[in-house]
Amino acid sequence: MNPTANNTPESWRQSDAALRRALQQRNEGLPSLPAGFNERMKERMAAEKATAAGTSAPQKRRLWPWWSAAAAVAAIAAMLLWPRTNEVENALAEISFQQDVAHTQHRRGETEAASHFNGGSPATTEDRVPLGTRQQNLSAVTTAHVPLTDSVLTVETTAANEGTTASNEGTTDDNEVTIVPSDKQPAAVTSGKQSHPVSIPSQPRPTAQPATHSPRLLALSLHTSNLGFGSNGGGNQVLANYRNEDYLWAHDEIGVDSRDKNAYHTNNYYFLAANGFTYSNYVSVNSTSQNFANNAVTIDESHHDLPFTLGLSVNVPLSERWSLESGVTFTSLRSTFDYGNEQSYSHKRQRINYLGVPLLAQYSFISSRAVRLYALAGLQVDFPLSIKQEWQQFTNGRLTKEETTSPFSLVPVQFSPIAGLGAQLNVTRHLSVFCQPSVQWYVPASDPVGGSGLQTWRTEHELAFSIPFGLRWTF
Amino acid sequence: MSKKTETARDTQRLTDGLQRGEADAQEEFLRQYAPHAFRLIVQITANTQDAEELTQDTLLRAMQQIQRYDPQQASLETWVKHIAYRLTLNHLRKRPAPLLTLDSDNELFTEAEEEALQRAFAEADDERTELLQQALDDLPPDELTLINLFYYEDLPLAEIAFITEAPPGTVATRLHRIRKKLYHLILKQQQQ
Repeated sequence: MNPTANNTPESWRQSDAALRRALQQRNEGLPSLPAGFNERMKERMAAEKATAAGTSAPQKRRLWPWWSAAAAVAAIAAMLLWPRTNEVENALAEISFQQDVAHTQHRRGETEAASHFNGGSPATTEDRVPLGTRQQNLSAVTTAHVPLTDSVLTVETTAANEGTTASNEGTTDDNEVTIVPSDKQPAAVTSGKQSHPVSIPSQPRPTAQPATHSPRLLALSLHTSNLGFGSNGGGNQVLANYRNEDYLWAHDEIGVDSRDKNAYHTNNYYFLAANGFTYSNYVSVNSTSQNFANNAVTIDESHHDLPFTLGLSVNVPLSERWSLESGVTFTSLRSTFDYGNEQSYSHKRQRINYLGVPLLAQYSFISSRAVRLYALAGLQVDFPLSIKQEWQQFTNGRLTKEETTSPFSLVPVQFSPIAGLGAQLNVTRHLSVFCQPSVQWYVPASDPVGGSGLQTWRTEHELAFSIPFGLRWTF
Repeated sequence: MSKKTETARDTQRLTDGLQRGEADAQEEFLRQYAPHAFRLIVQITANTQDAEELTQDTLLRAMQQIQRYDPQQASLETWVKHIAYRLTLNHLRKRPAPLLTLDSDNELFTEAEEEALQRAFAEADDERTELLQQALDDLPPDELTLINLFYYEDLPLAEIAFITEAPPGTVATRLHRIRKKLYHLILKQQQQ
């Protein structure tokens, strides 16, 4: 189309009198708003209000995403800045320290026990002395009685500063590692039992630190949904949707080989299901009577690339098993759409970028030096960063028009609850790899402007399974 | 105070009232905008019952989403029509589309002479009008809406672009293509 002074939309408006008259006559025959509409509308409003009782008013709904975002940001800030001078922190530090001491003792105890074994001396239990009594002197003499068959080590500790007592799990039948202060050593040694004190070198005792701690875990994760699939990619729901819409669905075809609607329909469905694939191309035929004879085909195709997500997360332990994880993720959703027919159609490329803030609770049910297995659950809020839509108009295969739009106001904030399992394999003391198979539900947003919700991979796959994976660095 | 300013203030008062959930504002909103929404929808669906239900959906959606309305982008009426347009097209996608009786050979979409088009549409005699009405019935819903918004509602391209979520240039291109399609349809009818 080459608009000239006589060939512009405004000139058509003026010149096309017959078209205007035809439309006028056609529309004059149409009914006007039925009587009683307002009353029926009010009844429906009342019914909807009753149904939605308990939900927030529109104005409140506008604000709650931002409150959620603020809460997420506050949670992250709290994690980063949270001072570790509280009792729990000190108790954890104390336990950690005592375990280190106990390990040292255990190693030395084994040596001692070996010599006992060689000499035929039986192992015995020594008196236990609370560690809190020897805060200043950790060059304690330790009496360790550890037979070679011993399997469980018990250490009883008292957090000296706060007087908090903590004990690790399990005790042996009659074998314990006992840490004895140096001033009580004689009593221990002279208990009448055959015991073999082992001296361990002094170790600096950890003290409560001011608010200078960084998060204990910092995980840099690169994760994508490429290993996942959406529930709508397979399942009865898909078939139901296709049938409801009564369209012919075909993959990368334009109806030529699709005379048998049901067969093709089914094939395509299973193709999607079998591959967990996200290609949702379809061809809609403007007739249920399969009017292929005149090739009356309208193209209405959409394709959504698998989302790509890059994330940086922080994990802060709350207790031995519980931890909280948050961070930021960047997600790019790319789609292409084709509208029109074979001769003239519009091709649209769409890219939407999101900044996500997840807030996940993790529960470790297995945690060893090499492996950690955990469950996770939480919520992610994705805020739109940008949207770009590139339009191309083709007529008879020739590009006739190009435009770019950016309807940012149409992009909704995305909420998505997440649940999953995670496995972390510690490669070194600090570095580990992790994998978190998760299910994520992309809560359908109330359409930002009426029914004009944008189509993305997420709108087509509300319930998605993904396998985020990455590297984790532990401080 | 200019009429435009007065209208803007009225709209602001109305949207504020809707945000607060005031019954008076809701009643006023229904009174003003239900006819506009219904007219657009019934032009597409040609079914009173569907049109009424979709009009209700439209107005409910508009009231629920009123905080998203931006007076800088479009008038309230245009915004409501935009919602009506999207809901109606979504609704129609769930049903079999009307049979399109066009041949889609290359001849249909070859470049027609603009002068021939103008002549064809300028002659508003009864026969031509009737042929065009039949041709209009064969258009798919989105194209019929576009033609209606442009010729019948007399909306500027920018407003049509807002309603149909397409850039103004694309709207113009589509209008041009629909005119060609109508032209070939009436030629075909004349040959028959």
